[in-house]
Amino acid sequence: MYRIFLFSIILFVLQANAKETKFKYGSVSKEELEMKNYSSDSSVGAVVLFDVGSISYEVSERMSGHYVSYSFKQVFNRKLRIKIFDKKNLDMANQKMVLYLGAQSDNFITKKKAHTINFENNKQAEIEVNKDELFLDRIFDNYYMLKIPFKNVKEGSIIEMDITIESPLNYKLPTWYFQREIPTLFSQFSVSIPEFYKFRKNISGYLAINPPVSEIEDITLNSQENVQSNKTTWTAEKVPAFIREPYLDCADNYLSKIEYELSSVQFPLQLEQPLSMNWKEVNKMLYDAEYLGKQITTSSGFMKDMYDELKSKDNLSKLELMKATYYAVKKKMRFNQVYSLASLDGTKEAYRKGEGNSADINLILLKLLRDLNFNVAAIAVSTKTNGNVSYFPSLFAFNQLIVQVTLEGKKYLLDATEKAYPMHLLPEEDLNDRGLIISDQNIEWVDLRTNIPSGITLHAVDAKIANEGTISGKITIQRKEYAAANFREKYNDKVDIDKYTKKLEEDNLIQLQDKSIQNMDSVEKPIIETYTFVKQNQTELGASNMLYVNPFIIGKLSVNPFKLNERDYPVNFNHPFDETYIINLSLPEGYAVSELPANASFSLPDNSGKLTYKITASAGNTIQLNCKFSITKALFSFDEYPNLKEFYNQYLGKLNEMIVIKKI
Amino acid sequence: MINNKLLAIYATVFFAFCFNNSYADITEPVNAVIENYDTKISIDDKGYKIHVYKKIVLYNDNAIDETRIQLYHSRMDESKLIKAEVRDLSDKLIRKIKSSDLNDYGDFSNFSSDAHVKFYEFSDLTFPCTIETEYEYSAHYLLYFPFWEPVTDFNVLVKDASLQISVEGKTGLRYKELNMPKTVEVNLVNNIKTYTWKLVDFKPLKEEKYIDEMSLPFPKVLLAPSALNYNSYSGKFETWSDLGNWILLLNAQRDNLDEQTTLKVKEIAAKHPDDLSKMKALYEFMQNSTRYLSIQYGIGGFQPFPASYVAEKGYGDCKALSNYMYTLLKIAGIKSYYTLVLAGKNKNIYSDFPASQFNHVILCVPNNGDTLWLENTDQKIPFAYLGDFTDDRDVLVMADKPFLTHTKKYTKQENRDITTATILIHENGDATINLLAKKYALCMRELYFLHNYYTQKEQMMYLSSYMPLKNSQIDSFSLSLIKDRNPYIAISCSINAEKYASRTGSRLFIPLNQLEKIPYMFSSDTIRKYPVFQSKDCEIIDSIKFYIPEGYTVESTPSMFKDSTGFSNYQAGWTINQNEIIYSRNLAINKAILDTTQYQEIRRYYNSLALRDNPMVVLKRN
Repeated sequence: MYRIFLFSIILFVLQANAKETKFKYGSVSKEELEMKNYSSDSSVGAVVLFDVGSISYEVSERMSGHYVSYSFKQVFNRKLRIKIFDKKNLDMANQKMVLYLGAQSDNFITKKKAHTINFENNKQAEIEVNKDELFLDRIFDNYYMLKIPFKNVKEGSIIEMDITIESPLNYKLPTWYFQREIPTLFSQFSVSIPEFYKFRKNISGYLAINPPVSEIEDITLNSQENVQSNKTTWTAEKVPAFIREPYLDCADNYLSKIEYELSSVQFPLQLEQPLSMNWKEVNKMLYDAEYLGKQITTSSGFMKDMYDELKSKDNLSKLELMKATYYAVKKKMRFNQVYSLASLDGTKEAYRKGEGNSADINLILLKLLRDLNFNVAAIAVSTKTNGNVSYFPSLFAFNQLIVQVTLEGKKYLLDATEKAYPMHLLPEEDLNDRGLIISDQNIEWVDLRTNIPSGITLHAVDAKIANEGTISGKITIQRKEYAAANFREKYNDKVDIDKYTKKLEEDNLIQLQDKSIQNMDSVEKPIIETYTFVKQNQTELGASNMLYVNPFIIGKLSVNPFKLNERDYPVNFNHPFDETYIINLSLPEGYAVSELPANASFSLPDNSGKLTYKITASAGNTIQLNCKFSITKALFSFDEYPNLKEFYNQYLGKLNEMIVIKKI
Repeated sequence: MINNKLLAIYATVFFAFCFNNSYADITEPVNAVIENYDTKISIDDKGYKIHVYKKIVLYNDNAIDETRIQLYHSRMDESKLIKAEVRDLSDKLIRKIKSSDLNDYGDFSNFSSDAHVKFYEFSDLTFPCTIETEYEYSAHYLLYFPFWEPVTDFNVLVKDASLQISVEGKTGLRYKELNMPKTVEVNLVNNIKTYTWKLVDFKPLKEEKYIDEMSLPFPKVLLAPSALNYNSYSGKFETWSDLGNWILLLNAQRDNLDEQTTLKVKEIAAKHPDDLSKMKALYEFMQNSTRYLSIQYGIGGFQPFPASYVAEKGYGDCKALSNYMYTLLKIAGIKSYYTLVLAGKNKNIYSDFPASQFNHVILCVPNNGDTLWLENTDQKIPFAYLGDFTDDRDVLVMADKPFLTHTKKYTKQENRDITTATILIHENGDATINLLAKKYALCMRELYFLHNYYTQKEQMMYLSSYMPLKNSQIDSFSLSLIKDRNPYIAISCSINAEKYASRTGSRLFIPLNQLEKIPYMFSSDTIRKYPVFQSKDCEIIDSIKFYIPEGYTVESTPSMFKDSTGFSNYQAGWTINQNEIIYSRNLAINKAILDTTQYQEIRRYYNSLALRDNPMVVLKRN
């Protein structure tokens, strides 16, 4: 094993060296020039032939008084070569690169070469982008965009750029993405780090990257001294395009990439200076931070009015008091829609204004509960949009703070920001990865993806069928938990509600009257919609005086959300959910049931999905249908996908089955 | 006083969040109330200044534009924020924005330009609240004035808005009032002419579906200067041809090409016998050697880069590429005209008010009376096809004597959507479908972009969800664009549709129309305030042949259905022949703005169509 491994390293080194010349600006191969399409998919409009990035350090000398001081500057070079096959990707010829250029232009673009290579009638033509044809436009603050408009680009063109940026900010490395919206034949990122620096790295994403190759290089410090530098080279080949699929969370969680973080610095004759932290240190810093951990312990005198009022409610149980406190904070505080791990100007100021970010609001909640003798803790979270908690222990791993209360041995997670949610539901943004309990003691993580309550929807229909097949009656739709919260978020005013009921009519070919939607603002209660309805017959009376009725009068799913055979990434529903239909239909006078759909029940492995369909006709000329579809977990991996697709298939089949009624 | 009453209702409804449990008692929704909106413009011969004060009460997050401060500036104009404050309804100050709080952003809509925007968004408001803003803007040129449109959103009430324009110097003001309850008042004091418009207590407009924006009764005043003055380019501006002449002035001597390209063009032209094939070949040459890239600096926003620039770089914006195409045709001896257009689906200019209302350039080729229109920014578009981006609208053609004319309107015969399919029904209800559809001209819609800009995998993803079939799985497909004079997208698909037919006991239920159904669009709206807009002439023709499994007989069939009106015709029917069912459907729609007197008929017609558009055949096992 050992020998094989060694051999493979040598092979990689050889390959890497062989490729060096291939990356030389302007030296394109005949094969590249004559390439007609991407072999794995001829419909692809362009491919990245190579994207080669390298980070190295150079010594820069500076005279300060009589002394010469040496410092390292970081040199980032990127060589990118793209082949364009089809006009659909002519936009690749408009290259843009976001750069942070310090206020005093600390960072410099020291090389910017770009050209188009065309190959027509067996002749190779190179068209250089002149310096005055480039744009360096300010986006905002110190962020600039280097824009490279390649010239004379057509189908078959190769475009190529070679950019070097030097920076004294030597601790920050760009995140290297191996994957993008077009396929990449070869991507390489090499990092050569002087022995004084120690970096940590994190490789993430769905696609495998080749094992790294390491070697030692020398950097000349001055005429007498050399410094050793550790070079690591990462490569990936034939990386397919990243295509976003429905029901996918933060795309960044799946893109193949590598990140570096400086962990320590040790210069000769100096002690090692640790720069990065472990989670314990991160936690300690969060705990000691003025606008974060400090707020957990500091005084709350400014909230005396609220505290007194809550304290005076001595007839409440502990749980009721927690609830009262939660809703009191929600009522008092406006959420400014900014997720934050820390308070902005302190909780006192936020309380005075009655407005704050998520940390302000949840810290106020935490302080009140603490003063009311609850066992509380603050939890650092990374929201769904922010992506998973970073691999590297870092203060920047989180962007949200929620509260944990331990009461009678039970743990409650609270977030008082979103008005549409009741106390026992965390907003969907919070249901991501894991949270860290802020403490100066131990490291304790809370899994935020398990034990998520369901979204529950119930459609109850009580109706009668008339002679000519028209169905009329009463509909009640009940939404609970996430189903209710989602509805409250989506339809939060009269204009939206109006659109909703109209859409309900259109989608179901139905006329609604006596429309009422209850409990929109009582978040602890389910939302209850009630309507009376008339649905015209859409199928003709049969020759033999038959009536055919689909019992799902309202709200049935119309198409399978999963129609593709394969899927690359997991399906994320955010939370489990279920849909129940309880339908009572009474038949017209003089008619009787001829045929009913079959009862059925299906389930997914591990009961992650369940479907039951039960239909009965009673003597009193009525039909009862009970159908329940449930998805009991939020996340399905791509290998569970075929089953999930088939499960939906079965569900849609049952939803479309007809009842046959015959005139006696 | 209606306003105050409304306000009072909304104050209780929205403010007392915890007490209102039902939406049942609300009648007319209002998203925002413009309390005060005063615009003052002063014009002189060099440019103009605008001062705006606005106070608006927002009741929810629907009036999203009102929560953004966007102040534009570039080399030729500047803007300054004077005040921006948010208060709650008790007049308590929630937030105060200073000029320094605005972020200055570069231009994202062009590849590169001198345009910047100072931007701030109140993303974090709690409703209701009042936003008060005041700012100044000054432009150092005369070309256009922003039209005065005090309200452009539905469900917004205006209490008090005014526009005051003072004119000093030789340059005059032209204007046109639209839907204004009160006309202008004009005063002349010390040689300064002042125009004043007022809009008081304007009731909110209710949003309706299928509307033509231009026929909505939003009040507005169209404005334009009587002279043009941008850098050294100046001229009078009373008529469309004045604007055309100014553009001709900007375009002068921009049609030169290097020798090599000139020779190449002549060589291509020489290969083709007639003008039409020369044009086609040169158009393809242009499409194959250029791409759209928008670079706008100063006068470059209105003046094209020279043809030689495009030849050298291989890119340009609509102005540059149109001027380049014009030059290519000129070298080949074919006359064409640079043409200004207001692009966008269903857009048009106010053609009786000469003003700079355009945002795009195309080319008009007279072609001996068979006028052709060339779009030069889409490298994949078929020759002489416009699409709904520039069809059927008034445009300004830069002939020697510029004139206004109308672009091509695609007819019902041209906009056809023809689907033929065979559907083999298996006994378990699954179906094997072979489908061939041809979507002509405007009916190409999103499939045009899908064909031109996406890979096979993405096309598969899109087509799968585009198919309304509940469980369809596309086994194979092909998508092609046929670049005829009347172009079309042909799509052929073989689909495995599980549970296409549902079964109950001994019966199989076969839906005849599972492709594109007519929506139940006017079901809930019994009354209509504004005309119904049918946005294109088109004809949808479906013909589907079903093969039913052996051992089954037809128990029930839908009746044939036919309905016709002055604005649309529908016909659906079927024939049965042993184990074959042939279903055919034909829907024709006229492009029209249908006034409200016809609404009950429109509603009746489309509602009955929607209900009849789901026919089903019932089979019974022998």
